[in-house]
Amino acid sequence: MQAFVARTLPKISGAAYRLLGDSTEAEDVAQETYLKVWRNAGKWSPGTARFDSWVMRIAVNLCYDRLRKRKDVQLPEHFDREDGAAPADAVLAGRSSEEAVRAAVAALPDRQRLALELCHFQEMGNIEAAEIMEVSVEAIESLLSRARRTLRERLMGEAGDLIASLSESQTDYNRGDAT
Amino acid sequence: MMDEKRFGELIAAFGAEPSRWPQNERAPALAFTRDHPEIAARLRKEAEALDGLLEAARTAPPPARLEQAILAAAQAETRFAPSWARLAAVLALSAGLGLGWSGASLRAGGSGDAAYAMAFSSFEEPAFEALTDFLQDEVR
Repeated sequence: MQAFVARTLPKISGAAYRLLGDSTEAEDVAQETYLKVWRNAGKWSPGTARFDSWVMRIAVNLCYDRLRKRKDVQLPEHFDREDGAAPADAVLAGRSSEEAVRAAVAALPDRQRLALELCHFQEMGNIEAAEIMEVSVEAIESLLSRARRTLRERLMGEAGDLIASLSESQTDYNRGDAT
Repeated sequence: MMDEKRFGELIAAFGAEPSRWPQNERAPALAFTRDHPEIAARLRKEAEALDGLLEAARTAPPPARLEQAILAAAQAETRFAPSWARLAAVLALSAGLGLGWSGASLRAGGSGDAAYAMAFSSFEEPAFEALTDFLQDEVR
């Protein structure tokens, strides 16, 4: 069981964080996911999806539930976010570093963000990602294309500066200058 | 058929790194890069830059305490759960057959799923009882 959790937890928490953007909520989703797995393993049916894909789908659905609840809460005009996070455009306008890249990814629509997390960051195959997201492989490709096109438009204009900045911070880190 | 248009679509969706390209199109796409190196290099250049930038947006690994909390909850949950035997079979087979994210070649309905189905159909057999006893002891 430890091997199963060790193998699946980084994938689950990575996808949950990518969707929710909050590490505490991502941890809550991971714990809820495994509770559902322990309680409902009997409902998994061979021949429908791989077991790990089924587990991942539970996690993704829990994230979607939380995102839906967030959207149900209507925010008043000029609402200031409690976490102090700035909108993505503001972050992008003011920074040229890792934060700008993270903000651009975080600003993508939910499904594009998830497809990018599964296929790019977790290097899952398109078939597995399609299984988890319950869409066709063509839809996965479309989501990825749109995500990357948006990111190119947002980031590539200043790609030279961003790459130089990221490279510089990596060099500083390797030298031990990072604080 | 892998032509410039399709190669461009692949790069636009999956990036410049061949390991991320769909398995069924990887070989034709690599052949295209060999046969048309200048076109392939041009199409991959921008995607490589974006791939590089995206490295900054990787999520951090989960904290060790989270795995410990999940395992503790699992012990409490599964010790008395009626579905424990079935769960044990799934996890054992999942580990033993190398299924899951690392088992990309095992498709739904393929040989891996047949093995799952066999395990579930042999719940009453002595060998299965021995397996679940062993796994229960491991968890305790």
